[in-house]
Amino acid sequence: MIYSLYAIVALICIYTARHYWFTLNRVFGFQRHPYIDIDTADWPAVTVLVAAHNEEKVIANILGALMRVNYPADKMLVIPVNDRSTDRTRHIIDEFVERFAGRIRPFHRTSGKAGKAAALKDAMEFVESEVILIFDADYIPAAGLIKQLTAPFFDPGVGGVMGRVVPMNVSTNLLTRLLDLERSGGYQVDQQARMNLRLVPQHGGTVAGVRRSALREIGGWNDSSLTEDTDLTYRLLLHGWKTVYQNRSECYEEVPETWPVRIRQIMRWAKGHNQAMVAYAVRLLLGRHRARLRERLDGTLLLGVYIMAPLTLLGWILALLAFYRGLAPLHGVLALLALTAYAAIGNLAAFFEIAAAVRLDGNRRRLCLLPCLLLGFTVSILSVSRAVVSQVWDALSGAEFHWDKTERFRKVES
Amino acid sequence: MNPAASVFLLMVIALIVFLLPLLPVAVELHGKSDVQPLQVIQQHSGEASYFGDSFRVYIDNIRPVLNDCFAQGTAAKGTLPDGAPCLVLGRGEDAPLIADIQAGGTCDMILASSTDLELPSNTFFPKDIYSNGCVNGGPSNTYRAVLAEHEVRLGAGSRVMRWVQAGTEFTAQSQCQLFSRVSAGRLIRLLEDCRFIRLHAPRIETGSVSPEAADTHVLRRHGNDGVRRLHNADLSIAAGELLRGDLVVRGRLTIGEAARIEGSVKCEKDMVLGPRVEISGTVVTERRLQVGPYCILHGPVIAERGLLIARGTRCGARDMPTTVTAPRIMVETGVVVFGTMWAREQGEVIAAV
Repeated sequence: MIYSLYAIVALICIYTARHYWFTLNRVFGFQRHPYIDIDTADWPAVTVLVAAHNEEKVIANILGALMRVNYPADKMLVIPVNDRSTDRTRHIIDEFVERFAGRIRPFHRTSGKAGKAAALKDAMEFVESEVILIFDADYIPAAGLIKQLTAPFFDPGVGGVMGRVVPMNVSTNLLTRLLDLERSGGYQVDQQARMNLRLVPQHGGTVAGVRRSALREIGGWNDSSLTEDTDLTYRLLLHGWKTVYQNRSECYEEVPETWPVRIRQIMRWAKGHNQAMVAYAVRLLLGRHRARLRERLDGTLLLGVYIMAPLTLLGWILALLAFYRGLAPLHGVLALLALTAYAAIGNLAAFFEIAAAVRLDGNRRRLCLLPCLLLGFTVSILSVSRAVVSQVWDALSGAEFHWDKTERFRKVES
Repeated sequence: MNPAASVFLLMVIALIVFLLPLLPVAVELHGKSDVQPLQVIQQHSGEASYFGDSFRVYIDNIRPVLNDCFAQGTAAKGTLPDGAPCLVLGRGEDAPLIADIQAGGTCDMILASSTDLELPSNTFFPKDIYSNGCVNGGPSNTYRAVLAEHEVRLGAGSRVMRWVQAGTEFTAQSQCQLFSRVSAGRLIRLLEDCRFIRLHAPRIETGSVSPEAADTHVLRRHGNDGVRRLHNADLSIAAGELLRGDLVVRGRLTIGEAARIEGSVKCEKDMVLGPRVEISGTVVTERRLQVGPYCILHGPVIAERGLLIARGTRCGARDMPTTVTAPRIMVETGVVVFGTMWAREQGEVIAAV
């Protein structure tokens, strides 16, 4: 028991050190933005896939925004992937097709496997360009975003690109404000540090792009994955393609406004991420492929982020058991010192990362909400642990994964 | 004190101590003083001409005054709608005669001219300048920003703090320092020892380049065969070799004289291109890039650490503009870039060796 506890504490310490390393790199290190200055070029043909399943509240916003971007109109084709919608999504898309003839080619999917990856997989037969950009329907791209996300594909080593997601409904309630803080830490520090350090920036599946030839090489979209973006990141990496992060390619999104929606979202992410962990962790760490050692290590740690939640819970239980059984790890005093040091420094790591990110974004007062993140973290730990238990149960019982679509909260414009 | 009251008091104090750090949380949650989403600019994408175009809209406020002054050949002082002092010149060539624009002084007003504007030397212009014609600046001037509908010519040793936009051509004599963006409708020409950050024009020249020389050798972009070659170590491509497809090199890359690559090239360490190398696609390096003389690079050129471009090199083409970008760029005289040249930290024109 005590050795399991040591192992869990060691893992937590590794992740703590990683938080600090990323934050210090982001604050003091050399910042890589190699493609952001490409503003003049012979821009390639681009296909923009907009994944939409019952998106009547938001689909008009993104299609309207895409029609206003500054990418050459004759080189950009928008394909709304209307995946078995039962609301007015189809009607709204068809109105846009009529208004912007030749610039939007709808794909109304009426049957087939559920899930975004399956829908994108089916949509690929309509894609003719080498560069594919992907947006979820609740995003609102700015005028220059398509060029910014396309620019990295001039680099022949780049297989995938990821932009920054910015919550727009921050002010709604405590949850949206906490998610704003988490997104800030995740993108402004975590993703950018990975880019700086040439590690493994993660493809997010929206505000993102993929090279068609790279996608073909790795076998296309994996429609059995709940998080096709994580799956894509690792398959690109194993085949020698880079995924790059563009911190200044920002795009507004709508974050969940209720806790049940947030919990369902995080459970889907956890299950999908853990699917990828099972599929790729050993191969990434030990297999023969083109990833560098630092990418192998960081990629493996990234795959493990969701499994750390149940492990942390297990660690707490083991620590209590050790206490009540009178065990004194490291002769008591040392353990006390370790606990104090971890409580003072270790637990602070994630908060430090988020605080640094918020300041880098130029914000200040919202830092007052940092203590509330304890609530968010607790919900995350419990939700992820529940997801892991349910995933193991599903695997044992042979049940299929269920796709949970994230509910939208935007008011429909009249 | 009653023991029960003491316990109660202790609990209240403990609760207060525990809740005290949460006071700012409550204040912020209630007051919502910082709830705006991170600002994402939706309407434009930072085009080089953005400031110039915005200033033109601003100056349209005094267009009638400009026209009147032009018709009467007079000057007028006034204020713009936002209260900024403004000097309007009907005849820009008279500028050196006006007391507010004396050589060696400071002209602390927005300057707008109906015709070509002649500016004296050693003068500080802390406010924006507009000319409906050309701007001819004397040597050693310092400008905040300049917009001209036709040419802008800056004298030797001049400095621009924010931006310049020329309707047709922009020329900077030697030792000028251009601290931000410069754009021109036709041509930007920088002479020796000029420093720059961001240049954007259909054609950018360093030093003197014969117009024909740079246009004679037009390499069309070929569709590559879709092959991507990955090379895990250092690589040298022999002189005169022809390579089709994209190339990604983990080590250093050296490309020999007159080699041709019909595709894009990526290198994770330093890259050296020999003389007369032709590359139809992108050139990317995560370190430093040294481009030999008389190379032709068709696609974007990206160097993450530093870039040196030798004389006679051409980047992009007239009908296929491109971007050359690196934190530090040193470019010899005799180089032509079609499109954008962007040095995040500093660019410098140096004498051809």
